[in-house]
Amino acid sequence: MVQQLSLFSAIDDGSYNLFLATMTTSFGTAPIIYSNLSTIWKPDPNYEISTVNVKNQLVEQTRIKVSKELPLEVIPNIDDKIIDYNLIPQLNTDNLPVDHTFIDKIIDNQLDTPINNNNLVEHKSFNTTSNNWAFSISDIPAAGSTRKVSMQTITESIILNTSGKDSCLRKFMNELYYILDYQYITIGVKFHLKHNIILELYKIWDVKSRKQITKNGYLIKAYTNVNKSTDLDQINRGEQQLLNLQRDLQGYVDLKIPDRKSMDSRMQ
Amino acid sequence: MDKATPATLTEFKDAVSSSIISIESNWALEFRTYRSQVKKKVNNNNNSSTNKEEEQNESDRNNVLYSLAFPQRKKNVLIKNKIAIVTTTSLDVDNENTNPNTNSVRRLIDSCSSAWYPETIDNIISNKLSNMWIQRQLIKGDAGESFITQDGLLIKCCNLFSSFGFKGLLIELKEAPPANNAHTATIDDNSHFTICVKTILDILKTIGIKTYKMSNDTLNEDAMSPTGSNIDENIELCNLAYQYVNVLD
Repeated sequence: MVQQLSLFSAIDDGSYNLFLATMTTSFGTAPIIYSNLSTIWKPDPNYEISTVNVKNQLVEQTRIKVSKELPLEVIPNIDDKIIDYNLIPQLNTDNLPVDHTFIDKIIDNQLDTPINNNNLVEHKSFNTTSNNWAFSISDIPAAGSTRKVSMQTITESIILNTSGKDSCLRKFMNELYYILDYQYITIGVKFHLKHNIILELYKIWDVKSRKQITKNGYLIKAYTNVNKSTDLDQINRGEQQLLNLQRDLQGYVDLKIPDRKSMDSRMQ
Repeated sequence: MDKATPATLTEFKDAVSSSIISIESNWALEFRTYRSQVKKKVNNNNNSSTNKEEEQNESDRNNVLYSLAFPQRKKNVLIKNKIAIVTTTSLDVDNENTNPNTNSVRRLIDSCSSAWYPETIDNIISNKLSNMWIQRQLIKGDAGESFITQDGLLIKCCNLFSSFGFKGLLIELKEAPPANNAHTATIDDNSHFTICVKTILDILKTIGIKTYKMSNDTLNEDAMSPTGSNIDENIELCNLAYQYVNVLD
Protein backbone atom coordinates (compact mmCIF):
# COMPACT_ATOMS: atom_id res chain seq x y z
CA MET A 1 0.00 0.00 0.00
CA VAL A 2 1.52 3.20 -1.21
CA GLN A 3 1.21 6.41 0.75
CA GLN A 4 0.81 9.39 -1.52
CA LEU A 5 1.71 12.72 0.07
CA SER A 6 0.43 15.72 -1.83
CA LEU A 7 -0.33 19.42 -1.91
CA PHE A 8 -2.49 21.19 -4.46
CA SER A 9 -2.98 24.60 -5.99
CA ALA A 10 -4.17 26.20 -9.23
CA ILE A 11 -3.18 28.95 -11.64
CA ASP A 12 -5.13 30.64 -14.45
CA ASP A 13 -4.48 30.08 -18.15
CA GLY A 14 -2.55 33.33 -18.55
CA SER A 15 0.03 32.38 -15.94
CA TYR A 16 1.12 29.20 -17.69
CA ASN A 17 4.26 30.45 -19.40
CA LEU A 18 5.45 32.46 -16.43
CA PHE A 19 4.93 29.52 -14.09
CA LEU A 20 6.91 27.21 -16.36
CA ALA A 21 9.71 29.76 -16.61
CA THR A 22 9.74 30.20 -12.85
CA MET A 23 9.89 26.49 -12.17
CA THR A 24 12.60 25.94 -14.76
CA THR A 25 14.85 28.69 -13.43
CA SER A 26 14.21 28.00 -9.75
CA PHE A 27 14.68 24.25 -9.81
CA GLY A 28 16.75 23.70 -12.93
CA THR A 29 14.50 21.04 -14.43
CA ALA A 30 12.65 21.15 -17.71
CA PRO A 31 8.90 20.62 -18.06
CA ILE A 32 7.93 17.26 -19.57
CA ILE A 33 4.60 16.87 -21.29
CA TYR A 34 2.46 13.89 -20.33
CA SER A 35 -1.08 12.70 -20.80
CA ASN A 36 -3.18 9.89 -19.47
CA LEU A 37 -6.61 8.38 -19.58
CA SER A 38 -8.35 7.50 -16.34
CA THR A 39 -11.35 5.23 -16.27
CA ILE A 40 -13.33 5.08 -13.06
CA TRP A 41 -15.38 1.96 -12.36
CA LYS A 42 -18.10 1.48 -9.78
CA PRO A 43 -19.81 -1.65 -8.41
CA ASP A 44 -22.61 -2.78 -10.69
CA PRO A 45 -25.89 -1.63 -9.10
CA ASN A 46 -27.61 -4.72 -10.53
CA TYR A 47 -25.86 -6.81 -7.94
CA GLU A 48 -26.26 -6.99 -4.21
CA ILE A 49 -22.84 -6.38 -2.78
CA SER A 50 -22.34 -6.73 0.92
CA THR A 51 -20.34 -4.23 2.92
CA VAL A 52 -18.73 -6.77 5.21
CA ASN A 53 -16.36 -9.61 4.43
CA VAL A 54 -16.31 -13.17 5.86
CA LYS A 55 -14.53 -11.95 8.97
CA ASN A 56 -17.36 -9.47 9.42
CA GLN A 57 -15.05 -6.55 8.86
CA LEU A 58 -16.50 -3.51 7.20
CA VAL A 59 -15.27 -3.16 3.63
CA GLU A 60 -16.61 -0.08 2.01
CA GLN A 61 -17.46 -0.14 -1.65
CA THR A 62 -15.01 1.96 -3.52
CA ARG A 63 -14.55 2.93 -7.08
CA ILE A 64 -11.63 1.46 -8.95
CA LYS A 65 -9.41 3.66 -11.05
CA VAL A 66 -7.83 2.06 -14.08
CA SER A 67 -5.56 4.34 -16.03
CA LYS A 68 -2.97 4.32 -18.75
CA GLU A 69 -0.93 6.60 -20.94
CA LEU A 70 -2.69 8.39 -23.77
CA PRO A 71 -0.50 9.00 -26.81
CA LEU A 72 -0.71 12.67 -27.72
CA GLU A 73 -0.40 11.70 -31.37
CA VAL A 74 -4.11 10.94 -31.33
CA ILE A 75 -4.96 14.62 -31.06
CA PRO A 76 -6.42 15.66 -34.41
CA ASN A 77 -4.11 17.78 -36.58
CA ILE A 78 -1.20 17.20 -34.25
CA ASP A 79 1.14 16.46 -37.13
CA ASP A 80 2.00 20.08 -37.79
CA LYS A 81 2.79 20.75 -34.15
CA ILE A 82 5.70 19.89 -31.93
CA ILE A 83 4.74 17.81 -28.95
CA ASP A 84 6.22 19.68 -26.02
CA TYR A 85 5.03 21.94 -23.24
CA ASN A 86 4.05 24.66 -25.74
CA LEU A 87 1.33 22.39 -27.03
CA ILE A 88 -1.02 22.57 -24.07
CA PRO A 89 -2.09 26.23 -24.40
CA GLN A 90 -2.78 25.58 -28.08
CA LEU A 91 -5.26 22.79 -27.46
CA ASN A 92 -8.86 23.67 -28.07
CA THR A 93 -9.28 23.88 -24.38
CA ASP A 94 -13.03 23.90 -23.88
CA ASN A 95 -13.70 20.71 -25.73
CA LEU A 96 -12.18 17.27 -25.40
CA PRO A 97 -9.06 17.40 -27.56
CA VAL A 98 -9.30 13.75 -28.65
CA ASP A 99 -12.02 11.79 -30.36
CA HIS A 100 -14.20 10.18 -27.70
CA THR A 101 -14.82 7.11 -29.86
CA PHE A 102 -11.10 6.50 -29.65
CA ILE A 103 -11.35 6.31 -25.86
CA ASP A 104 -14.07 3.66 -26.10
CA LYS A 105 -11.89 1.68 -28.44
CA ILE A 106 -9.04 1.71 -25.98
CA ILE A 107 -11.28 0.30 -23.27
CA ASP A 108 -12.74 -2.29 -25.63
CA ASN A 109 -9.31 -3.21 -26.98
CA GLN A 110 -10.34 -2.55 -30.56
CA LEU A 111 -7.60 -0.25 -31.64
CA ASP A 112 -6.68 -2.30 -34.65
CA THR A 113 -10.04 -1.65 -36.26
CA PRO A 114 -10.11 1.49 -38.39
CA ILE A 115 -11.68 4.57 -36.91
CA ASN A 116 -13.96 6.70 -39.04
CA ASN A 117 -12.10 9.90 -38.70
CA ASN A 118 -9.52 10.70 -41.28
CA ASN A 119 -7.29 12.27 -38.69
CA LEU A 120 -7.09 9.14 -36.68
CA VAL A 121 -6.99 6.30 -39.15
CA GLU A 122 -3.36 6.64 -39.98
CA HIS A 123 -1.94 6.96 -36.53
CA LYS A 124 0.78 4.46 -35.90
CA SER A 125 0.64 5.25 -32.23
CA PHE A 126 -2.54 3.19 -31.99
CA ASN A 127 -0.55 0.07 -32.39
CA THR A 128 2.03 1.13 -29.91
CA THR A 129 -0.66 1.68 -27.32
CA SER A 130 -0.40 -1.46 -25.31
CA ASN A 131 -3.02 -3.09 -23.20
CA ASN A 132 -1.17 -2.10 -20.01
CA TRP A 133 -3.19 -0.47 -17.27
CA ALA A 134 -2.58 0.67 -13.73
CA PHE A 135 -5.38 -0.76 -11.57
CA SER A 136 -5.75 1.08 -8.29
CA ILE A 137 -8.02 1.65 -5.32
CA SER A 138 -7.55 4.72 -3.16
CA ASP A 139 -8.71 5.28 0.40
CA ILE A 140 -10.06 8.60 1.56
CA PRO A 141 -7.07 10.74 2.66
CA ALA A 142 -6.18 10.52 6.33
CA ALA A 143 -8.13 12.80 8.65
CA GLY A 144 -6.72 15.21 11.19
CA SER A 145 -6.67 18.98 11.45
CA THR A 146 -2.98 19.13 12.30
CA ARG A 147 -1.90 17.61 9.00
CA LYS A 148 0.46 19.63 6.91
CA VAL A 149 0.15 17.58 3.72
CA SER A 150 -2.56 15.35 2.32
CA MET A 151 -1.85 11.65 2.86
CA GLN A 152 -3.70 9.04 0.85
CA THR A 153 -3.31 5.25 0.72
CA ILE A 154 -3.28 3.79 -2.78
CA THR A 155 -3.29 0.08 -3.58
CA GLU A 156 -2.21 -0.63 -7.12
CA SER A 157 -1.39 -3.48 -9.45
CA ILE A 158 -0.36 -3.43 -13.10
CA ILE A 159 -2.37 -5.14 -15.82
CA LEU A 160 -0.15 -6.34 -18.67
CA ASN A 161 -2.74 -7.76 -21.01
CA THR A 162 -6.12 -9.40 -21.29
CA SER A 163 -6.83 -12.76 -22.84
CA GLY A 164 -9.84 -14.78 -23.89
CA LYS A 165 -12.38 -14.44 -26.62
CA ASP A 166 -12.90 -10.75 -27.47
CA SER A 167 -11.30 -9.91 -24.16
CA CYS A 168 -10.85 -6.32 -23.10
CA LEU A 169 -10.65 -4.25 -19.96
CA ARG A 170 -14.39 -3.60 -19.94
CA LYS A 171 -15.24 -7.30 -20.09
CA PHE A 172 -12.93 -8.18 -17.27
CA MET A 173 -14.14 -5.35 -15.07
CA ASN A 174 -17.69 -6.55 -15.70
CA GLU A 175 -16.63 -10.01 -14.52
CA LEU A 176 -15.48 -8.34 -11.31
CA TYR A 177 -19.01 -6.85 -11.05
CA TYR A 178 -17.77 -3.38 -11.87
CA ILE A 179 -19.17 -1.07 -14.53
CA LEU A 180 -17.78 2.09 -16.05
CA ASP A 181 -18.71 5.18 -14.05
CA TYR A 182 -16.88 8.02 -15.76
CA GLN A 183 -13.66 8.71 -17.61
CA TYR A 184 -11.39 11.67 -17.96
CA ILE A 185 -8.21 12.57 -19.70
CA THR A 186 -5.40 14.58 -18.23
CA ILE A 187 -2.87 16.53 -20.25
CA GLY A 188 -0.19 18.45 -18.49
CA VAL A 189 3.47 18.98 -17.80
CA LYS A 190 5.46 17.58 -14.94
CA PHE A 191 8.67 18.58 -13.22
CA HIS A 192 10.88 16.00 -11.59
CA LEU A 193 12.24 17.76 -8.53
CA LYS A 194 14.80 16.53 -6.05
CA HIS A 195 14.01 13.82 -3.52
CA ASN A 196 11.40 12.13 -5.71
CA ILE A 197 9.01 15.06 -5.60
CA ILE A 198 6.93 15.48 -8.73
CA LEU A 199 5.09 18.68 -9.56
CA GLU A 200 2.33 18.39 -12.14
CA LEU A 201 0.50 21.19 -13.89
CA TYR A 202 -2.48 19.89 -15.81
CA LYS A 203 -5.88 20.21 -17.37
CA ILE A 204 -8.68 17.65 -17.13
CA TRP A 205 -11.40 16.90 -19.63
CA ASP A 206 -14.45 14.79 -18.89
CA VAL A 207 -14.91 12.28 -21.69
CA LYS A 208 -18.70 11.99 -21.53
CA SER A 209 -19.59 15.68 -21.62
CA ARG A 210 -16.43 16.36 -23.66
CA LYS A 211 -15.89 19.52 -21.62
CA GLN A 212 -12.89 20.77 -19.78
CA ILE A 213 -13.33 20.57 -16.03
CA THR A 214 -10.37 22.83 -15.29
CA LYS A 215 -11.69 25.61 -17.54
CA ASN A 216 -9.62 28.81 -17.56
CA GLY A 217 -6.90 27.33 -15.45
CA TYR A 218 -4.50 24.58 -14.50
CA LEU A 219 -4.38 22.39 -11.46
CA ILE A 220 -1.08 22.05 -9.66
CA LYS A 221 -0.26 18.90 -7.75
CA ALA A 222 3.00 18.37 -5.91
CA TYR A 223 3.44 14.87 -4.55
CA THR A 224 5.63 11.96 -3.70
CA ASN A 225 4.87 8.29 -3.15
CA VAL A 226 6.20 6.25 -0.25
CA ASN A 227 6.21 2.50 -0.77
CA LYS A 228 5.24 1.38 2.71
CA SER A 229 2.76 3.05 4.98
CA THR A 230 4.85 1.82 7.93
CA ASP A 231 7.97 3.61 6.73
CA LEU A 232 7.54 6.65 8.96
CA ASP A 233 11.04 7.97 8.25
CA GLN A 234 10.36 8.11 4.56
CA ILE A 235 6.92 9.61 5.11
CA ASN A 236 8.32 12.34 7.36
CA ARG A 237 11.08 13.06 4.88
CA GLY A 238 8.58 13.27 2.00
CA GLU A 239 6.38 15.57 4.03
CA GLN A 240 9.34 17.81 4.84
CA GLN A 241 10.35 17.99 1.17
CA LEU A 242 6.83 18.99 0.19
CA LEU A 243 6.76 21.64 2.90
CA ASN A 244 10.10 22.98 1.64
CA LEU A 245 8.60 23.27 -1.82
CA GLN A 246 5.55 24.97 -0.35
CA ARG A 247 7.83 27.49 1.36
CA ASP A 248 9.87 28.07 -1.82
CA LEU A 249 6.77 28.88 -3.83
CA GLN A 250 5.08 30.85 -1.05
CA GLY A 251 3.58 34.15 -2.15
CA TYR A 252 3.58 33.03 -5.76
CA VAL A 253 1.62 29.79 -5.66
CA ASP A 254 0.11 28.63 -2.40
CA LEU A 255 0.22 24.86 -2.15
CA LYS A 256 -2.53 23.62 0.14
CA ILE A 257 -4.18 20.47 1.45
CA PRO A 258 -7.41 19.88 -0.45
CA ASP A 259 -10.65 18.93 1.26
CA ARG A 260 -10.27 15.21 1.84
CA LYS A 261 -13.89 14.64 0.85
CA SER A 262 -13.02 15.76 -2.68
CA MET A 263 -10.59 12.84 -2.87
CA ASP A 264 -13.03 10.23 -1.58
CA SER A 265 -13.67 7.41 -4.03
CA ARG A 266 -16.18 5.54 -1.89
CA MET A 267 -19.68 4.89 -3.10
CA GLN A 268 -22.19 7.09 -1.32
CA MET B 1 -2.78 -36.49 -11.05
CA ASP B 2 -5.17 -37.75 -8.44
CA LYS B 3 -3.87 -40.96 -6.96
CA ALA B 4 -0.27 -39.85 -6.68
CA THR B 5 1.79 -39.63 -3.51
CA PRO B 6 4.60 -37.17 -2.80
CA ALA B 7 7.05 -39.92 -3.77
CA THR B 8 5.57 -40.16 -7.26
CA LEU B 9 7.59 -37.12 -8.24
CA THR B 10 10.82 -38.99 -7.51
CA GLU B 11 9.60 -42.07 -9.38
CA PHE B 12 8.66 -39.93 -12.34
CA LYS B 13 12.02 -38.18 -12.32
CA ASP B 14 13.82 -41.52 -12.19
CA ALA B 15 11.79 -42.76 -15.11
CA VAL B 16 12.57 -39.82 -17.38
CA SER B 17 16.11 -39.24 -16.14
CA SER B 18 17.72 -41.29 -18.88
CA SER B 19 16.60 -38.84 -21.54
CA ILE B 20 17.34 -35.56 -19.76
CA ILE B 21 19.94 -33.39 -21.46
CA SER B 22 19.80 -30.26 -19.32
CA ILE B 23 18.30 -29.03 -16.10
CA GLU B 24 16.61 -25.68 -16.17
CA SER B 25 15.50 -23.15 -13.61
CA ASN B 26 13.33 -23.75 -10.58
CA TRP B 27 9.81 -22.47 -10.47
CA ALA B 28 6.85 -22.16 -8.17
CA LEU B 29 3.13 -21.72 -8.40
CA GLU B 30 0.25 -20.54 -6.27
CA PHE B 31 -3.29 -21.31 -7.24
CA ARG B 32 -6.18 -19.59 -5.53
CA THR B 33 -9.88 -19.77 -6.11
CA TYR B 34 -12.24 -17.07 -4.95
CA ARG B 35 -15.97 -17.38 -4.81
CA SER B 36 -18.00 -14.25 -5.10
CA GLN B 37 -20.63 -13.45 -2.55
CA VAL B 38 -22.29 -11.08 -4.93
CA LYS B 39 -25.87 -11.84 -5.90
CA LYS B 40 -27.78 -10.56 -8.83
CA LYS B 41 -30.69 -8.43 -7.69
CA VAL B 42 -33.89 -10.36 -8.25
CA ASN B 43 -36.26 -8.80 -10.68
CA ASN B 44 -39.68 -9.57 -9.22
CA ASN B 45 -41.78 -8.62 -12.20
CA ASN B 46 -41.37 -11.60 -14.49
CA ASN B 47 -39.63 -14.41 -12.73
CA SER B 48 -40.98 -17.92 -12.86
CA SER B 49 -39.43 -20.52 -10.59
CA THR B 50 -37.71 -22.34 -13.44
CA ASN B 51 -36.03 -19.12 -14.42
CA LYS B 52 -34.76 -18.76 -10.91
CA GLU B 53 -33.29 -22.22 -10.90
CA GLU B 54 -31.59 -21.59 -14.17
CA GLU B 55 -30.19 -18.38 -12.84
CA GLN B 56 -28.96 -20.15 -9.76
CA ASN B 57 -27.12 -22.73 -11.82
CA GLU B 58 -25.79 -20.03 -14.03
CA SER B 59 -24.39 -18.05 -11.14
CA ASP B 60 -22.88 -21.13 -9.47
CA ARG B 61 -20.87 -21.77 -12.54
CA ASN B 62 -19.89 -18.20 -13.11
CA ASN B 63 -18.98 -16.81 -9.75
CA VAL B 64 -15.58 -18.37 -9.34
CA LEU B 65 -12.47 -16.35 -9.91
CA TYR B 66 -9.20 -18.19 -10.36
CA SER B 67 -5.87 -16.66 -9.59
CA LEU B 68 -2.53 -18.14 -10.56
CA ALA B 69 0.62 -16.57 -9.25
CA PHE B 70 3.96 -17.19 -10.94
CA PRO B 71 6.41 -15.74 -8.41
CA GLN B 72 9.50 -16.22 -10.59
CA ARG B 73 8.02 -14.23 -13.41
CA LYS B 74 6.45 -11.72 -11.01
CA LYS B 75 3.22 -12.26 -12.84
CA ASN B 76 -0.25 -13.24 -11.87
CA VAL B 77 -3.16 -14.38 -14.02
CA LEU B 78 -6.80 -13.92 -13.06
CA ILE B 79 -9.39 -15.95 -14.92
CA LYS B 80 -13.14 -15.72 -14.71
CA ASN B 81 -15.53 -17.06 -17.32
CA LYS B 82 -12.71 -17.57 -19.78
CA ILE B 83 -11.71 -13.93 -19.61
CA ALA B 84 -8.23 -13.47 -18.21
CA ILE B 85 -5.90 -10.67 -17.26
CA VAL B 86 -2.20 -10.82 -16.60
CA THR B 87 -0.94 -8.56 -13.86
CA THR B 88 2.49 -7.83 -12.50
CA THR B 89 4.13 -6.37 -9.46
CA SER B 90 7.21 -5.24 -11.30
CA LEU B 91 7.58 -2.18 -13.44
CA ASP B 92 10.62 -3.72 -15.09
CA VAL B 93 8.89 -6.91 -16.02
CA ASP B 94 8.91 -6.14 -19.72
CA ASN B 95 12.55 -5.19 -19.93
CA GLU B 96 13.48 -8.50 -21.48
CA ASN B 97 10.60 -8.12 -23.87
CA THR B 98 12.11 -6.93 -27.10
CA ASN B 99 8.80 -6.28 -28.77
CA PRO B 100 8.52 -2.47 -28.80
CA ASN B 101 4.75 -2.68 -29.10
CA THR B 102 4.29 -4.22 -25.73
CA ASN B 103 7.29 -2.98 -23.79
CA SER B 104 5.53 -0.12 -22.14
CA VAL B 105 4.98 -0.74 -18.47
CA ARG B 106 7.31 2.16 -17.77
CA ARG B 107 5.03 4.40 -19.76
CA LEU B 108 2.47 4.09 -17.01
CA ILE B 109 4.88 5.95 -14.74
CA ASP B 110 6.00 8.39 -17.42
CA SER B 111 2.39 9.35 -17.99
CA CYS B 112 1.69 9.72 -14.26
CA SER B 113 -0.81 6.86 -14.40
CA SER B 114 0.91 4.77 -11.79
CA ALA B 115 1.77 5.37 -8.14
CA TRP B 116 5.16 3.64 -8.61
CA TYR B 117 4.91 0.64 -6.29
CA PRO B 118 2.50 -1.99 -7.63
CA GLU B 119 1.60 -5.04 -5.57
CA THR B 120 -0.07 -8.34 -6.34
CA ILE B 121 -3.64 -8.43 -7.54
CA ASP B 122 -4.28 -11.08 -4.86
CA ASN B 123 -3.54 -8.42 -2.25
CA ILE B 124 -6.16 -6.17 -3.76
CA ILE B 125 -8.78 -8.88 -4.04
CA SER B 126 -8.25 -10.26 -0.56
CA ASN B 127 -8.15 -6.82 1.08
CA LYS B 128 -9.90 -4.11 -0.83
CA LEU B 129 -12.43 -6.37 -2.51
CA SER B 130 -12.87 -8.90 0.29
CA ASN B 131 -16.51 -7.91 0.58
CA MET B 132 -17.02 -9.42 -2.88
CA TRP B 133 -14.61 -12.33 -2.95
CA ILE B 134 -13.97 -15.15 -0.48
CA GLN B 135 -10.85 -17.21 -0.92
CA ARG B 136 -11.86 -20.86 -1.05
CA GLN B 137 -8.66 -22.71 -1.64
CA LEU B 138 -4.96 -22.20 -1.96
CA ILE B 139 -2.79 -24.76 -3.65
CA LYS B 140 0.92 -24.17 -3.56
CA GLY B 141 3.72 -25.73 -5.50
CA ASP B 142 7.16 -24.77 -4.27
CA ALA B 143 10.55 -25.92 -5.49
CA GLY B 144 9.31 -27.00 -8.88
CA GLU B 145 11.90 -28.41 -11.24
CA SER B 146 12.25 -28.19 -14.96
CA PHE B 147 14.39 -30.02 -17.47
CA ILE B 148 14.74 -30.59 -21.17
CA THR B 149 14.77 -34.02 -22.75
CA GLN B 150 16.48 -35.39 -25.84
CA ASP B 151 13.26 -35.02 -27.76
CA GLY B 152 13.25 -31.27 -27.22
CA LEU B 153 10.54 -31.38 -24.63
CA LEU B 154 10.53 -29.01 -21.67
CA ILE B 155 9.16 -30.81 -18.64
CA LYS B 156 8.20 -28.94 -15.51
CA CYS B 157 7.06 -30.90 -12.53
CA CYS B 158 6.12 -30.03 -9.01
CA ASN B 159 4.35 -31.47 -5.99
CA LEU B 160 1.29 -29.49 -5.02
CA PHE B 161 0.06 -28.96 -1.49
CA SER B 162 -3.09 -27.38 -0.12
CA SER B 163 -3.78 -26.61 3.52
CA PHE B 164 -5.06 -30.18 3.90
CA GLY B 165 -1.84 -31.72 2.72
CA PHE B 166 -0.57 -33.27 -0.48
CA LYS B 167 -2.74 -32.46 -3.43
CA GLY B 168 -1.05 -34.05 -6.40
CA LEU B 169 1.76 -34.00 -8.88
CA LEU B 170 1.69 -31.39 -11.58
CA ILE B 171 3.52 -31.96 -14.84
CA GLU B 172 3.70 -29.31 -17.52
CA LEU B 173 4.95 -30.24 -20.98
CA LYS B 174 6.07 -27.70 -23.50
CA GLU B 175 8.27 -27.61 -26.50
CA ALA B 176 11.69 -26.36 -25.53
CA PRO B 177 12.79 -23.01 -26.96
CA PRO B 178 14.73 -23.50 -30.23
CA ALA B 179 18.06 -22.41 -28.72
CA ASN B 180 18.42 -25.51 -26.58
CA ASN B 181 16.24 -27.78 -28.62
CA ALA B 182 18.36 -30.67 -29.86
CA HIS B 183 15.51 -32.12 -31.84
CA THR B 184 15.51 -30.97 -35.45
CA ALA B 185 11.99 -30.84 -36.67
CA THR B 186 11.63 -32.73 -39.90
CA ILE B 187 8.04 -33.63 -39.34
CA ASP B 188 5.22 -31.37 -38.32
CA ASP B 189 6.02 -29.93 -34.90
CA ASN B 190 2.58 -30.45 -33.57
CA SER B 191 2.54 -34.16 -34.22
CA HIS B 192 6.02 -34.47 -32.77
CA PHE B 193 4.76 -32.83 -29.60
CA THR B 194 1.82 -35.23 -29.51
CA ILE B 195 4.24 -38.15 -29.70
CA CYS B 196 6.31 -36.69 -26.89
CA VAL B 197 3.24 -36.29 -24.73
CA LYS B 198 2.32 -39.90 -25.42
CA THR B 199 5.80 -40.99 -24.34
CA ILE B 200 5.35 -39.22 -21.04
CA LEU B 201 1.95 -40.81 -20.55
CA ASP B 202 3.53 -44.21 -21.18
CA ILE B 203 6.16 -43.43 -18.58
CA LEU B 204 3.42 -42.55 -16.12
CA LYS B 205 1.72 -45.84 -16.85
CA THR B 206 4.89 -47.77 -16.10
CA ILE B 207 5.15 -46.17 -12.68
CA GLY B 208 1.56 -47.07 -11.99
CA ILE B 209 -0.23 -43.77 -12.52
CA LYS B 210 -3.52 -44.35 -14.25
CA THR B 211 -5.70 -41.43 -13.24
CA TYR B 212 -4.76 -38.00 -14.35
CA LYS B 213 -6.30 -34.90 -15.84
CA MET B 214 -4.84 -33.31 -18.91
CA SER B 215 -5.61 -30.05 -20.65
CA ASN B 216 -4.31 -28.42 -23.78
CA ASP B 217 -7.07 -25.87 -24.16
CA THR B 218 -6.54 -22.24 -24.92
CA LEU B 219 -8.59 -19.21 -24.00
CA ASN B 220 -8.76 -17.90 -27.54
CA GLU B 221 -10.06 -20.82 -29.52
CA ASP B 222 -8.46 -19.34 -32.59
CA ALA B 223 -5.10 -17.97 -31.61
CA MET B 224 -2.77 -20.78 -30.63
CA SER B 225 -0.19 -21.73 -33.19
CA PRO B 226 1.53 -25.01 -32.36
CA THR B 227 4.99 -23.55 -32.22
CA GLY B 228 3.78 -20.57 -30.24
CA SER B 229 6.58 -18.42 -31.51
CA ASN B 230 4.56 -15.39 -32.49
CA ILE B 231 2.20 -15.39 -29.59
CA ASP B 232 2.49 -12.70 -26.95
CA GLU B 233 4.17 -14.15 -23.87
CA ASN B 234 1.44 -12.75 -21.66
CA ILE B 235 -1.30 -14.38 -23.71
CA GLU B 236 0.67 -17.61 -23.59
CA LEU B 237 0.82 -17.31 -19.82
CA CYS B 238 -2.96 -16.88 -19.73
CA ASN B 239 -3.38 -20.05 -21.77
CA LEU B 240 -1.05 -21.89 -19.44
CA ALA B 241 -2.98 -20.58 -16.46
CA TYR B 242 -6.21 -21.70 -18.05
CA GLN B 243 -4.78 -25.19 -18.51
CA TYR B 244 -3.77 -25.22 -14.85
CA VAL B 245 -7.29 -24.19 -13.89
CA ASN B 246 -8.77 -27.02 -15.94
CA VAL B 247 -6.50 -29.53 -14.30
CA LEU B 248 -6.49 -28.23 -10.74
CA ASP B 249 -10.06 -27.15 -10.20
